[in-house]
Amino acid sequence: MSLAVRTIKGRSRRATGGTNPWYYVTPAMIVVGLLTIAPLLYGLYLSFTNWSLSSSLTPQLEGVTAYQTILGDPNFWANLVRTIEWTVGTLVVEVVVAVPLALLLNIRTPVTGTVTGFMMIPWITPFVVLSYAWLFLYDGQSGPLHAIMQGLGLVGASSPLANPATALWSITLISGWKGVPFLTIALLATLKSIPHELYEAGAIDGAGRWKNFAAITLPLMRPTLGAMCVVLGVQAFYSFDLVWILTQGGPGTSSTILGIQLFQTFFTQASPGEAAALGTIMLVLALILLVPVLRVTARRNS
Amino acid sequence: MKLGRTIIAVASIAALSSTLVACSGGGSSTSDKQKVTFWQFDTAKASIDAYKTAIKDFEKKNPTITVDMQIVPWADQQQKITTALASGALPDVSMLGNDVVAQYAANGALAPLDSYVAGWSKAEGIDVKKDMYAGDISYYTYKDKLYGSPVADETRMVYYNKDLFQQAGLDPNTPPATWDEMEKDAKALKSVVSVPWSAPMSKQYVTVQTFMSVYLSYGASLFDSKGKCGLDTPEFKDALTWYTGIAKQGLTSPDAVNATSDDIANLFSNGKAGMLIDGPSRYNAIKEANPDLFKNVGVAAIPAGPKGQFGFLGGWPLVMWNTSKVKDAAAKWIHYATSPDGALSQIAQTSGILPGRKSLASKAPWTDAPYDQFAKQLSKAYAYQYPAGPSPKMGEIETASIQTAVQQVASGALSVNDATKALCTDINGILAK
Repeated sequence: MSLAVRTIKGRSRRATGGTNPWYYVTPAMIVVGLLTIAPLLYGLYLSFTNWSLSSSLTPQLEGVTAYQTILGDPNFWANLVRTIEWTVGTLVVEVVVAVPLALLLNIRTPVTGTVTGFMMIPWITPFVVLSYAWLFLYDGQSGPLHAIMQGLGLVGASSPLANPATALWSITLISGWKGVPFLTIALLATLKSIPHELYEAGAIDGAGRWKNFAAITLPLMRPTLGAMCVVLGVQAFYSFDLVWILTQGGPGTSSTILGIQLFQTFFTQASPGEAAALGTIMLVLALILLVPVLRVTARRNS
Repeated sequence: MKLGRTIIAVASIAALSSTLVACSGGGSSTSDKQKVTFWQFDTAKASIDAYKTAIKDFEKKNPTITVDMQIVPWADQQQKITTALASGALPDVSMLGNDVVAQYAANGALAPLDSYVAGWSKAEGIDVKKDMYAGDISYYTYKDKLYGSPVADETRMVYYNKDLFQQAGLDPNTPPATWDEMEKDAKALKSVVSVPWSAPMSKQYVTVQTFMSVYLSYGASLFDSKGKCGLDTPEFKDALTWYTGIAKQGLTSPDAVNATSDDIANLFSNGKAGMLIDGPSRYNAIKEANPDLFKNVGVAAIPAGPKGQFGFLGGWPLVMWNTSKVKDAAAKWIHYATSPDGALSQIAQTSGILPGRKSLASKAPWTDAPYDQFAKQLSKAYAYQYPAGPSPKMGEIETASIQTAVQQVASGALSVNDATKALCTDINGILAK
C-alpha cells in the first residue's frame, strides 16, 4: 500500500499540469474499500461483540470476551500447532518437489513443453474435483493407492484419512502436490531469465556443475522462492476446502486446522462474534509469520 | 478547467455508486401479489416435483399469492440458515430439522403459529393439534407456543439382505431382535460379505441418528436431573464401547469413521453390505436403484438393548421465520402444504415418507408394508435427549459432540473413558454459553 502511494506522489510531482491522479484512483479505491476494508472493519467490530446466534439476533459490544474464550481454549492451541505443521509441511513438499522439477524442465528436450503443460493439471483442477479423486485413491475398500500403501505395510485396512495418526499428513501431501505446478512455473521463469554468460564465466573460473548451482542458480532463484513461499504459505495457512471435503477435520480433531475451526465456530456453534475474533487472530498470526519473510525478500529484490 | 475535472470525477463516482445501488436493490414488489419464499431441503426429484405440483394448486386457489421455492439440500441447510440469520436474508417459510426448532424459537427467529392454528382447525373441521403426534408437539413447542406444522415423521429400522443371510447360514426370516444378536449376525455375515453392517462412525448426522437407539436402549440419557451432561455413566460407556466395537471388529466399512451418509447407504443398496439402519424413504430408493436387490431386502424393527427398544424420532415441520413481511400469506402456504385437505397426502406419497398427521397415516398407502411397520415403530421412537424435553442447544450438541465422540473411539484416537469425559466437557460448555 505504502509503496503504491509513494509511486503516485512521485508521478504527480513529475507530471505537473496533468490530470490529478487521485481522480483516476478514487473510484477504484472506493470499490476496494467497499469490498475489502469495510468487511474487514465489520469483522473487527464483530470480534468485540461475542455475538451468538443461539442467544440473540443482533450483535452487542462486549469487549474482549470472544478473544478470551478462544485463547483460553486448549483446542485452539492444538489447532494452531496443527496449522503450522500443515503450512510448513505443505511448503516443504512444494519446495522439495518443485525445485528439482524446475531445474529439470529448464533443460530443453522435445517433450519439455508437453510435460510442463500436463504438470499444470493439479493447479488448474478445482479443489472439489481433486478431493473426490483423492478420496477414491485413498479409499479403504477400492482405492488403488491405499492398496499399494497397504501392500507396503504403511497403512492398515482403513483409508489413511480414517486414521487419526495419518489423516493430517495424508492431506498435507495432497495440499503440497496441488501447489507444486505454481511454484515450478514461477521458478522456471526465473531460471530462464538467468543470463547464460554467468555460467560461462563460472566455467572459466573453474566451477563445476554443483558450484555453479550453489553460486549462481540458487542465489538468483531465492527471491522468487521467497515470494512464492509467502503466497503459498498464506494460502496454506488459511486452508479450509481440501480438509473439509476429505475429513471435516477428523477423525476426532486430528486434522482440525484453524480454517476448519473458523468454519465450525460460525456454522456449527452459530457464533459470528467468536468466529470474527478467530479470524482477526488468524490475520495477526499470518502477519507475524509473514512480515519477516516479506522484508527479507523485498531487501534482496532492491 | 480544474472545476470541470472535479465535476467529471464526482460524476463518475456517482455513476459508479448508483450502479452498485442498482445491483443491490430491486427487491420491492411491483404488484399487489404477495411472494412467499420457501426453502425446501429434499433434493430427490420426486419430492421436488411433489412440491411443484402443490405450489401450482395452491397458487390457483390463492391468486394473490405466489410461492417461490428454493432447494437447499439437507446437508447445507444449517450453513444457509446460519448465514441468513447473520445477514437477515431468511426466507418466509422453510423446512427445519425437528431437533433445532426449539433453538430457533428460543432466539426469537421463528414466528409462533398458534394464532393461525385455530383457523386451520375450523377449516378442517378437526382439532389440528390433536391430529399431530405427541412427539412432534413436544419438539415444536417452546414456552407453550407452537412453532412448527409437521410435514413428516420418520424412524429408522433394520434393512437386511436376505440373500446374504442365507449364504451366511442365518435364517432370512429371523432378523436380529437385540443388539447382541445384531453383532452375532454381523460376525456370521463377515464370511460372505466384507461389510456385514454398514454402521456409520463419522461426524455426520447419520451417526447420532443410529447411535442414539443404542445409548437410549442401554439406559443412558443425555442430560442428568440438573440439566447438565448425563453421559458420564457406565450405561453410556457400555453403549459407546459396544457400538464402536462394531468398527474395531471390522464389522462395518473400514472407512466408516470418514464416510458420508450416502456412502453408508450405497454400500447396502449396491449389495456390498449385509445390514443397514435407515428410514422409510430408503425403501423406494432401493427399489429404484437396484430392483434385483430389492426383492431380497427385509425390513425389521430396531433391535432392543438391556432397557428395551428405542427408535430414532426424526421428522420435519414447516416453520415461519419472524422476519417475514407476508406472514398471513406464509401461514396459508404452511397450512396447505401440511394439511390432509391440502397437499400433504400427495407430498408424503411421492416422497415415500410418513405424513405428520395421524388422520392421514392411518389410511392407505401407509397401512401397507413396510410403512405400517415404520408407523408402528413410531410409537417407540424418542428424541436424543429422552426423557428430557427439547433443548435450545440441541443442534450444536448433537453435531459437535456425540458424533465426534463416536468417531474418536472408533478410529482409536481416544479411549471410551477419555472420549466420554471430553464429550461431557463439550456439552457442559455448550450449555453454559
